[in-house]
Amino acid sequence: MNRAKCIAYSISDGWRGIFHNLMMSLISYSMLVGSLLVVGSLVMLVLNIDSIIEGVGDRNEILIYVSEDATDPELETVASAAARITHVESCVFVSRESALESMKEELSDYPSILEGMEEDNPLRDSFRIRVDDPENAEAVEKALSGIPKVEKVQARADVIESFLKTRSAVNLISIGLMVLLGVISFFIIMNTIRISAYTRREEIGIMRMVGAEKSMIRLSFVTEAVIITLAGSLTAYFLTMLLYNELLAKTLENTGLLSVVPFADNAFAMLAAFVAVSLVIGIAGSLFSINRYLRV
Amino acid sequence: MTRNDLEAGAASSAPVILFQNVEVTYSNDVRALNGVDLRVDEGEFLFISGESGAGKSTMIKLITGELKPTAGTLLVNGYRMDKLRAGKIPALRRTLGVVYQDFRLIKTMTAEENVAFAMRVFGARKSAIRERVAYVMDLVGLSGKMKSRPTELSGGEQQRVAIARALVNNPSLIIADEPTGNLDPIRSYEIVELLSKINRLGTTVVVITHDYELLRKFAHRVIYIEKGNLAGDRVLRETGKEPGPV
Repeated sequence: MNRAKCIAYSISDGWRGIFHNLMMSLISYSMLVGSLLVVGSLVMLVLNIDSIIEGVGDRNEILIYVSEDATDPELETVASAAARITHVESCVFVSRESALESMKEELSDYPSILEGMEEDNPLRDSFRIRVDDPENAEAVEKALSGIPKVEKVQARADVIESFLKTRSAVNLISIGLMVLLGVISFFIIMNTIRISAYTRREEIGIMRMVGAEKSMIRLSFVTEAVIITLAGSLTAYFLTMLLYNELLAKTLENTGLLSVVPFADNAFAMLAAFVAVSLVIGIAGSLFSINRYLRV
Repeated sequence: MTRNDLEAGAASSAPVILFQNVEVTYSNDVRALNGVDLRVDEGEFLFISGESGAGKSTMIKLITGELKPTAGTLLVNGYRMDKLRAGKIPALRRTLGVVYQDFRLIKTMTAEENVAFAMRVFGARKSAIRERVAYVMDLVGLSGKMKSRPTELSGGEQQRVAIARALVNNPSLIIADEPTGNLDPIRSYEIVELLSKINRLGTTVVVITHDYELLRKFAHRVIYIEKGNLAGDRVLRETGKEPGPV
């Protein structure tokens, strides 16, 4: 017995099995493509939400405005109290004069808006507080509100919070869908191989009777399943890339509102994950379903 | 030839099959074999006969490794079947050729492909397969039907293809489980004649049959199984006795 040729035979037999059982093979393939496409799209959505949250995090500042009658020692007290709050990374004083200068620069194209402001500056002294993590912004905001002479706290915590909530929801939906679609794909592959084994049960019986090893027969069915799942995962990968790049990314870029995460940044990880998932589903599904036909 | 002659002749060669006080009790407490002793030597042709449920099929299952003896010692082609690990069963089966009553041909394959299939699963070279398949198909008298599918063949021809498949890997022992059960008397005779021809070429052949006409027509050794016991062991045509317990 030539083991290498036996393996080659089992693999080619697995390939033939796909066409023996074409309808079920196509159903399994389509199901896996659909499942991975949904999962892939959700992963890209999560990555984009993460990117937005990080972007918000870059400007993760809280502005506090102090009352007009605050004296210099009181300002120093506010600065040191703010700096002592946990999660505060920095605290920078912005005088009302420098705030006006910044505004002048930002609104240089609209000088009429600023007319008369130099004589009667409406801005107040403020502090720019930088927080270490967007998730801690709300707690810092509360702590800052309690400092004497602080009149107003202007934070982005609400925006961050809504993004974090969205991310959590999408994460939860993604994980739920991944598990659900994974289980469905697994059972469909299992049934495909079970039907394939059933239609070829006489062949399997004869193979067993002439002395073919169980491992060689298993290899044939594992090959059949893995070809289906691998083809499904590669198709899903390219479809996800195509849909993302040509549809979603272009649409978002055209709005000019957001900068989307390039697909290429995560291409390898996604391909590896798709291939790994397809291998696990293919191998486990076929092994579970073939055993009962090997008892001869 | 008498049983004693057979035993005397057999003493000089190693047994192909050796049952020593073999017992089989199924999980439902049904005792299928009850301390059977049997020796089949190289080059022998043996009929196993007996009524339905007597234990004939159990003996075949023991020989092919589908079943293990509950007690006793069983040797097949040098393998200790009572101690054989599951992983070694394929190696044993590669020394056997098995023929079934219902032919068990794959309907989507031609006669040639059905026979070649038994070689292909072991990764045999294409040229070796072509050569060997042509030889065995010629041996069973079906050279002209190589491209026919099972549905295009008569029952006798299908059984010949099954015999060719059993022969193709050159086994030292052919086991035929009721090979004439689905055939008319003339085809049955032809099939046993073919198995006898294969036996004359040196292969040990064991055939299970209910057909007493066949037992009378062929001067081969017959063992009779009754309620799990070996109740008879003789050559019918020479003794002129009816089949059944001695």
